[in-house]
Amino acid sequence: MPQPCNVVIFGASGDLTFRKLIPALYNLAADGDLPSAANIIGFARREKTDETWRAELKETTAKCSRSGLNEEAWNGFASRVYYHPSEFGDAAGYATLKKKLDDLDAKSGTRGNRLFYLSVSPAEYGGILAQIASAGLNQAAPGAWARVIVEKPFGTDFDTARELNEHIAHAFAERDTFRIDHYLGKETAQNIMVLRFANSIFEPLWNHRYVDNVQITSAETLGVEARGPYYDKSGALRDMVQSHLVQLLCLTAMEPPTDLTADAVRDEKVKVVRALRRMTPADVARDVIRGQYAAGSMGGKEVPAYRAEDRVNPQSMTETYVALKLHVDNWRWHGVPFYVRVGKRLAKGGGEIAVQFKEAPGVLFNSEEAPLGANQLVIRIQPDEGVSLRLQCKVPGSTLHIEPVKMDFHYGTSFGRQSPEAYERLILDAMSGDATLFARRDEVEQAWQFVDVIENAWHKSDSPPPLCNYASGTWGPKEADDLMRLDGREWRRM
Amino acid sequence: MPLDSATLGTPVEVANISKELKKLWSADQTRTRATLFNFAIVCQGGDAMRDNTDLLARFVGTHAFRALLIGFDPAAEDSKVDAWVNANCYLPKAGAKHVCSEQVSLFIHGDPRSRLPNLLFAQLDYDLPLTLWWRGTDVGHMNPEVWRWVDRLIFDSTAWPAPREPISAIRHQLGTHRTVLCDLAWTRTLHLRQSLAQMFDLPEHAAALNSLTTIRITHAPGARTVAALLLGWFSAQLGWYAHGQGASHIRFTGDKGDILCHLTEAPGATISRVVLDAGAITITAERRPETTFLHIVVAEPGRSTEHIMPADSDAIHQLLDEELAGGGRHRVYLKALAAAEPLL
Repeated sequence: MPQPCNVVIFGASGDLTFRKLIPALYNLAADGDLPSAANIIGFARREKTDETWRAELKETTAKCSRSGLNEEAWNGFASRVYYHPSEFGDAAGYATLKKKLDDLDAKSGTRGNRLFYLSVSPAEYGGILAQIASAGLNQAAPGAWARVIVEKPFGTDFDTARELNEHIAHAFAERDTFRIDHYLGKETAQNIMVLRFANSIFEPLWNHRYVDNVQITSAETLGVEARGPYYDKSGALRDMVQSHLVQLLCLTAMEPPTDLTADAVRDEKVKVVRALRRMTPADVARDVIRGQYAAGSMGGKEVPAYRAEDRVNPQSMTETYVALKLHVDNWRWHGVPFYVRVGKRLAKGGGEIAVQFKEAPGVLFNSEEAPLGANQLVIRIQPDEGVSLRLQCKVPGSTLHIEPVKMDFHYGTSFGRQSPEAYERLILDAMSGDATLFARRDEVEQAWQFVDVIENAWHKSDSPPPLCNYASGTWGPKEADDLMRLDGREWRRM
Repeated sequence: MPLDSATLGTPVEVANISKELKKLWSADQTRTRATLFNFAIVCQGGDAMRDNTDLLARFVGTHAFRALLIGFDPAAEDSKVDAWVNANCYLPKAGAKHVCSEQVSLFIHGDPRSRLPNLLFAQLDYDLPLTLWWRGTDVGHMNPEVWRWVDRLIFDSTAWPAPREPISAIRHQLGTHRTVLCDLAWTRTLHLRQSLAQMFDLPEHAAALNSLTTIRITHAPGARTVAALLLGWFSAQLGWYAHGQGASHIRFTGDKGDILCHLTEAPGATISRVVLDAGAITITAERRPETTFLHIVVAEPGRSTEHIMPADSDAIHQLLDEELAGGGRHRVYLKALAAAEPLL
């Protein structure tokens, strides 16, 4: 159960706060899920009053909230929203914050519980955490708690991730640290475990005997937009693969946990990351394709190349697309490749996990006239969250033709109510102290160790593999198709 | 020529097509959405958009697909894309929900090649096969990247004045790819081929196949490709090799000697008459005007037998219906095409 608390958002003027966090908190309040004793305090450099910030938030919440904006609900919610102007490095600002939180505890019954949300550049994390600790804000009163939510990126490589984790560990215990990956808050991502472990028909097939390959895709139609300076230093591998896609892979490949407690689930996830076969530079050259979008056409309109985007280095070697062939070296997944791809400016946006089963023996039907296709179980993360199962079916008629059909389940239409936004679920979990859907330190560091090998092969090698171009609006570089074709497979069509 | 968009549905922004389709479905709870495959028609010119919309509406009760109608005008001076969404519905039985399939229509002003892949890929219903009917006159307008995405490529080689080049271009683009080539010129003789083959099913007639000496085919003006493919079928299935050709004849060599084939053009059905001389047997298949049947006469010493068999339709919607209902690969077509290529 979410408990009464004060939520302090560092980076109150930021895009994430306006587009995601406040609309999420507003929807929780409007749905009656936010504890009645809960306040939101925005912490940022710019001078402004509570009223000014509330007015700004109202405008963007009306645009970004999944349920729109109800005036009465907003007024009730806004009365619990405050603004605290301060430099992140100014100790006095934290002292006055402490006093404000104490006053709010007394006034609204938030019981000394504090949830700090770091929605700022990672470069600010260390300083903010140190100031929180110096001000004693990380020390909860007896019976109360103090927790921190950290937004990704959790570092830029293993060393920086470990450094960041050390900063966090100095201020907060691991059980009070919530590394947020919004992908895991999506309904379908949460449904992966239910689908696997609450249905008896899938788990017996969920192994190397029956699964031919697994494809995990995260495709975006957008380019870098306003994130050029950040993205150019990060790239798709660090921005998406290290976090979102590794998390999805873990949920797909992990063993059943002993129970659904946070550590039991995360123990199993981290075993998957440990079992990822570490790549040599030769493996990277063969099994990892990096690409960068060139100019092209999206929706009938011309769009520029990545290198022509605002505040991007015109000679940039940053990848906007990655396709990888991975292996999970354990008994369950022996010999089953996991193909992972992520990219910007692709033909269509969407995220999914597709488990492709081995083809049925062809003794009865395997003539050229009636080729068999494989069954596929597809878990759609976004948009249009749901699950579909592809089956082979006889075409009506006197001859035997087999064509694929699919059984479809859509969250949107099956349950008659909107799924909460990922941030809603995750913020509530943090208020409840449930870290199941958050990344643990060892998961993050193991994932970076895996990714660093690839980054080093690209950027610290004398003969790095090529950066392949692809036209915007297509499905990525031809070399990524070749990666599959060499294995006699194809990327799934989305 | 200005585009008459009255039948294309609601005009929408290309970027909002998915959103508008969702609205379309959520607006009316009495409809069931049915989709088994993506069916894209790529055509040239505004009139073709209207004609193809009418055609698509005819299939709503028999084939469940997401229709993507993509028109283009390569000569247009402006460079933009217009879009519409629509639903084609039918009522399967009284009191039931309407069953509907959605139609997305796009019209590309200017050269379509660079814009076609994204427009097509972005609108495909995920995880469903793609059947594409290429109705353009110049296959050069197709972006090569699109070909590889097509599961079934439908085209009508009778629509091309010189089909050898575009067919060769398609085969070159697809190489050994798994795409199934569906030539409506081939579909036009489906029943004719089945009927002729049946005539040799009787044990006493089977041996006559090896005694074929002459084939005479009468075809409609503009249907030489259909006739050539029919000859290609005989050649491929019976293992003949072409070794001589004139303007209206071709000579094949089989195991038992030469087979002379004549092509004659005459007004009438696509293939109005086929005569097979096979030693003592002569088989004549005739499609008389105003009939939907084939009259087949098998003449042999001492007797003559008449058969009435269903004839192929020349109506484009029926040919397409046949093709969409079928499935499977057209292995024999590829063999017949290879054999017929010199005649095209």
